[in-house]
Amino acid sequence: MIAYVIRRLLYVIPVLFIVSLISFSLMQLVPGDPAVVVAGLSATPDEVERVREQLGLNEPFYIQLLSWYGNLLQGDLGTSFLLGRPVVEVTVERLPVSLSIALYALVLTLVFGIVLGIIAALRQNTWVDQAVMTAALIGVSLPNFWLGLILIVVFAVHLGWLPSGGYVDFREDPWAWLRATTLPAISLAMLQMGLLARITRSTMLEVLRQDYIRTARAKGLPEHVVVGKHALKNVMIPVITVIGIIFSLLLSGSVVIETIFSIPGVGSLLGSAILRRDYPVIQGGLLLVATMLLLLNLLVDVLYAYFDPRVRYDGD
Amino acid sequence: MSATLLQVRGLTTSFRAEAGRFEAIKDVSFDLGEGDVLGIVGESGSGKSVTALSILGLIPDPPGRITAGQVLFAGDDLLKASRRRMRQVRGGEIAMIFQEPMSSLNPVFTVGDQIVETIRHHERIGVRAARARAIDLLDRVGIAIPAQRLDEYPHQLSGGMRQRAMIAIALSCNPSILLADEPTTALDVTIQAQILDLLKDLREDFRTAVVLITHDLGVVAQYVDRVLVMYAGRVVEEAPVEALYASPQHPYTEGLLKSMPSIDTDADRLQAIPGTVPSPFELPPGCRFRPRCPYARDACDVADPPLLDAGPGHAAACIRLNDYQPAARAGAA
Repeated sequence: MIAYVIRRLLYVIPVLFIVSLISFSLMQLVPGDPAVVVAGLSATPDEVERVREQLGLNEPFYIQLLSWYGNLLQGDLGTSFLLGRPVVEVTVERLPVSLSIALYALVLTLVFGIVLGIIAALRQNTWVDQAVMTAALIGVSLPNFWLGLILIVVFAVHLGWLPSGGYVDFREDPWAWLRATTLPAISLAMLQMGLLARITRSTMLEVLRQDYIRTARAKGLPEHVVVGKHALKNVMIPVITVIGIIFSLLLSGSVVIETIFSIPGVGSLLGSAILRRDYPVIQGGLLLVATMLLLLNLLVDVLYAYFDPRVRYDGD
Repeated sequence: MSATLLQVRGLTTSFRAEAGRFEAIKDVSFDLGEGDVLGIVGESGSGKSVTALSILGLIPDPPGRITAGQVLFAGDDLLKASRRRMRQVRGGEIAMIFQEPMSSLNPVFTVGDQIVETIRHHERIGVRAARARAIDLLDRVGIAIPAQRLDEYPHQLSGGMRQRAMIAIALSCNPSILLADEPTTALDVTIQAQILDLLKDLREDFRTAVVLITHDLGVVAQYVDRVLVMYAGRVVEEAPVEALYASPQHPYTEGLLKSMPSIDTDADRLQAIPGTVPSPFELPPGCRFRPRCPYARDACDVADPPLLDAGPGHAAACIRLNDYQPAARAGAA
């Protein structure tokens, strides 16, 4: 298992190389000139040219790319055009913000998605099942930015229960953190929750038909053990598989959601960097997100072996 | 026969299907004494498994429902017993093993875990003691290096070993009855004999009564004391095993025996029973075997005959016995 993890970690390097190569090339193709943005609208062509030289954008593509890789090897992701600060610094200080919200949303997704899915399966074809499945369908269909806006209107503007935006560090004030992150986390989690509830329900129905469930009942086990132990661990196998997908959806959703809720996270940073052609930030942010997804996929595969003993990673 | 353990009376279980409700078993009755081995024989769909599952209340509802009858065990009618009582009975007093050892064990838990949890759900006993007993059980059912096998997962065991592990689970709480639903059908012939011999030995050691469900008359001849022959959801003949082979009274039993290959008689062709089992929705008006029966006569259409006495401990549902005159359904059914 350890050998497997090390091998997978080594695979991360070529994947990140390809990701950065693609994103670097794509940015060259995207219209818009960062030098113009940095210099300002009123700048003369001379000033723009000076800025371009300053930022190193007048160099040929491959020189830019190579120098970027060269710096990367020294742990330097460059300096933001607009913020004037190192990309590493900017992203690292924002990472805990995004991660805490993503984890919150992930917990909401897992708890509600799985629990609702199981309830629906156990009450198959009753009104409970139909209610849960309808809610799940609505959850899957709502665009997260729209949901975010509606939540702000209802809970922040009308009811005044929760703030409409902003962020407080968890270590500073956990309660304020919870208040600030609940609406964004719900907006982020709704889609995945619906998705997961549907997957859990259909998997559970499938598992409950298996012979080993009948065996568990024939052994005299109470129903909560039959479902909560024997069925659930089998249900978790496909559920674990989709957690990787769910987390990537959470991260991509955070670009929009953090912007709506004015949360200073990696998502909103990336969002504004894209709009203003802040190449080093986009590059660095993408690298960071890609790394997280790769590590998460590795974690999922390791968890997979825990839930399904038939999966073995050593000795291949 | 020794003291009666289990009395099944008029057990009827119906299922809901798209075409309507049908009775998978109808009016099944039998007695099981301490240490008896009762064989239930019949083709697929004759209701053998449904009978066993109905006894333990394991028929999935919906679509299934037990609509009539009694299952008398240890002073209780199990069909009326509380859920709590049923959980005590299942796995504790009446255990069951299934046809598919491949899919009957949970793939994501170790064999030991699946034995230990059964013991611990039925008895107040510590994990250590339960594990020790599980090792002992695996040893008893003929699994080598039991202490190591205990921590293995079902996929690491062969089919025969899995069925042995299933038997270990079933015997873990020393049940008085073991319902074995085609325990060897999915196994190789050599393994089949081993498993059946094991069941025989264990019956002697544990004094467990066994209901052996099978479609294999060869198995019945070797391992069973008494036989119940089922056809299309009904018991059509009940007899001590010698009497059944010597003088089958129901034409279906006769057909089954004739369709068995034998080493003694040199037959070029096996005799098959003509026709097929009727669909439960299209049962003939009288005797269910009427359309396939070589002895059929007009009276067979009048009513489905009850089990009629055919000697000591022997009964069959055929109107040829004792010049039985079927009464039309007008009166009591």
